[in-house]
Amino acid sequence: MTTLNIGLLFSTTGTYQAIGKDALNGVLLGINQVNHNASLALQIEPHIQNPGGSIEQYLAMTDAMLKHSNIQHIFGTITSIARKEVLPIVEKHDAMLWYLCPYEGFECSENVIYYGACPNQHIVPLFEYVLPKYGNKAHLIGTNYIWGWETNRIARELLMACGGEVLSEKYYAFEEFEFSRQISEILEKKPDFILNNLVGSSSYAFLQTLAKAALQYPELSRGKLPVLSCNVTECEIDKIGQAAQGMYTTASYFQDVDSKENQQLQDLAASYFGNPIKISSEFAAGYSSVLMLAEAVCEERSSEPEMVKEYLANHSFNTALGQLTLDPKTNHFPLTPYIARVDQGQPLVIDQNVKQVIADPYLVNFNAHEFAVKIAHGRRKMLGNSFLKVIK
Amino acid sequence: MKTNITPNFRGWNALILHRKHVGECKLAQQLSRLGIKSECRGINAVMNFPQVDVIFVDVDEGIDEMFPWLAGDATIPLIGLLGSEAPGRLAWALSQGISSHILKPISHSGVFSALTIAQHNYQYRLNNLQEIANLQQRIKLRPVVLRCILQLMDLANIDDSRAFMAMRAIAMQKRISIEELCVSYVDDSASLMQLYQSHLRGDLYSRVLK
Repeated sequence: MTTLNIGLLFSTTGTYQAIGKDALNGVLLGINQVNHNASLALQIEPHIQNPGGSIEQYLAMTDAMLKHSNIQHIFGTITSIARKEVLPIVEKHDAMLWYLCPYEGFECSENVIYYGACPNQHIVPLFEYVLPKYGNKAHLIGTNYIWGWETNRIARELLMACGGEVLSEKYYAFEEFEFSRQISEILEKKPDFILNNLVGSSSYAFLQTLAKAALQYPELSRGKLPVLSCNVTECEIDKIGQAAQGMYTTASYFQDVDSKENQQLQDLAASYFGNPIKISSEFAAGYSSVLMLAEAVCEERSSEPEMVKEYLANHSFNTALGQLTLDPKTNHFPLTPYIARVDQGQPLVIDQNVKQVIADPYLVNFNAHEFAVKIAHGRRKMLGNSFLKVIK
Repeated sequence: MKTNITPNFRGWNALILHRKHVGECKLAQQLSRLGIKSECRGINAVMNFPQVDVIFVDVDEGIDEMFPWLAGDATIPLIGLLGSEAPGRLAWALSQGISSHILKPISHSGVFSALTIAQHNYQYRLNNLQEIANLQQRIKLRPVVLRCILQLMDLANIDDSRAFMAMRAIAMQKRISIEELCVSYVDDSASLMQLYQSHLRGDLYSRVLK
């Protein structure tokens, strides 16, 4: 029996703890599955570290795990700041980081398995759905770091491509909770939608402030002013509460996805945790990535990152995120960009038949003209193929 | 607010001038991810120089006259691959006019930013060179402007400031530089006077309108 030590580097305390806990739970469920699978001659030994959202801790813990714990594979980091900080250490040790969260793209390390969606798998399809339906005047808001900046920059580029407009753009620190000035600005500028790229508790506070203001100003209600997100999943909805009602979000997995693999995962999670739980894309990715690693290690008889990567690129895996094979060109997975609307605390998938999208982390194949044509076509469809509108 | 368009290098061709090594394979792989086709050649292979959009050159082993242009006159962006930081090697890189650089050992990170910075710096340098050439040409024509103004002063019996203002206004109307205007009319008294008179009539006409 081989024992494989893996590092789990998730912040289960701090501002984005909900995501950290959910991803960790997914990975632990995967480890439990592997360790109880008699057909696999493998035991996985998790080394759980909680950096608590502190960058210094991420660095120190990564360094210690790679130096002293005989670890080659680390699952974790939630934010891009943390990933970018630990990446040089992971590369120095020629180890592997399994990254499970959506991110802003423009990265392709040989030492990372990117299991989260990049912009052509989140914001581009989200805008393709939302812009024809609601219009192209946006209010952009985000946390003051690379995820917020870059996702909003891409949003601006997409909006410009189809003749849209950014009416305002604001950034806030991680632990910011005061958004009353934002509400005034939104009331004044009257955007068609809000793109919310805030992270963690700050994001919940913004949505709650907005929902409260909507009681006084009906024009802010979700039916009239949609709020979009590229990173809010099931694990955060309870923290947002009723304020999440009606918001749009995109992810490569939702609990509402209609598939056999998804049902199996939910049943398994319910029996492991003792009752049905909310599962996010980070949970589902965490779970299936451990199974992928275990299979690769057993088949290749090696945990060398290069061998594991090669195995992932040459085999197909049935997961709750779809049938997946690693794209060796980018080290990303092709993912299905589902769009969901939150109803009664649950994101409900709008179209179950969405096709998988190959990751294009540098947006090499993005064509602004084609995007604009798609939006215009969608708009015409919304207007019932009528170019002329009767005005009474 | 200005939109920062995502840099896109899809369809570019790159030449890597470096002895073959794992680092260059990584570079080629990263270029392919960015939609760039690349060819790796040894540092001395300057025969049949291909048409490419960007060159990555090994600064550690770079030699004079390896490019089919004079040092510093690169017709495409050059990106230096730097191992040694010896001042002599850095001086060579600067003399070639590199637009950006990547430190060795080459990894997958840094290629996109090196390309983006190189493209920007190269275009900026080209624009500056064009602007400098344009200004130098105008400076060369200063004596012609002076002679033309003196001729107009003499012909129209006006002072230097009125003569200069008239020529400048005409040049602006014609959307050309004052130097270009003066080149066309200097030493041609009849045409110069005719030009000045029509300018005055235009002035009178606009005054009537007011």
